[in-house]
Amino acid sequence: MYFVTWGIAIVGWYISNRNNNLREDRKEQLSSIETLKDDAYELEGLAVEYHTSSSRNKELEKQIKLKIQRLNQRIEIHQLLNNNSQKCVIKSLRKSITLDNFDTDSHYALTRDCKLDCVSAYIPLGDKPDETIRNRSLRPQSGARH
Amino acid sequence: MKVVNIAKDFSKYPAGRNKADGPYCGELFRETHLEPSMQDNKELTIKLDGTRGYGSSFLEEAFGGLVRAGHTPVKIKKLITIISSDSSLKEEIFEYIDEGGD
Repeated sequence: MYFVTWGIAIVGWYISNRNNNLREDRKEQLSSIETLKDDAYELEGLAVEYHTSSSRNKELEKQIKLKIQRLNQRIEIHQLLNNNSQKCVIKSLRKSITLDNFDTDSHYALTRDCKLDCVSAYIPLGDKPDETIRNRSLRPQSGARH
Repeated sequence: MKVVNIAKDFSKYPAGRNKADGPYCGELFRETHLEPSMQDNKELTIKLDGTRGYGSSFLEEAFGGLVRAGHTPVKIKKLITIISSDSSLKEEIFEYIDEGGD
């Protein structure tokens, strides 16, 4: 009887500890996703500002390239996307902002209603991390944000 | 095999397509570092890490420009090895090599 009591206590502690770790892990993931979204929106703002400006802004060019690089590193560090999705998303993002009318003296202003492909490039970032979390068997907690 | 570290041997701020766009553009990088090895059929390793980011226009002009200059994608891929911690850059460069003539 003595051993059964201790056994139940240990098993109970193990389950409780495991659930706590999963909950903390999920919190960290969600926090990383929020930061990533903020970075992506900030990058969108810079890209729109750059491409709608009538003159070339070299400082903004440096900022945009650095932000894309950091966004990529953040996704990698927090393992928010699988390798193939990450390559695809970052490549599309970089091309949509920096392939044409970028880093050039013949820069011209695009109109506000002109479509910038960067929007479609980073939309998957909002969905895939959730998928990653699900794949890691982290069950959503009640009231948790999605 | 020759090794070119872009950040050390070219610039930490590679930018632009043509010489009119800036002093460290894709055209200049292609002419000074890529073309000589391609002409001599010598293998070349390019290290991309260490710069403050790349614009696609720089990458397209440097690597896609090799195809427009008359080198075949097969030859380019055989001679040039890309090393980068950002695998999306490597993939993008190979895309430009494959589509360079378009």
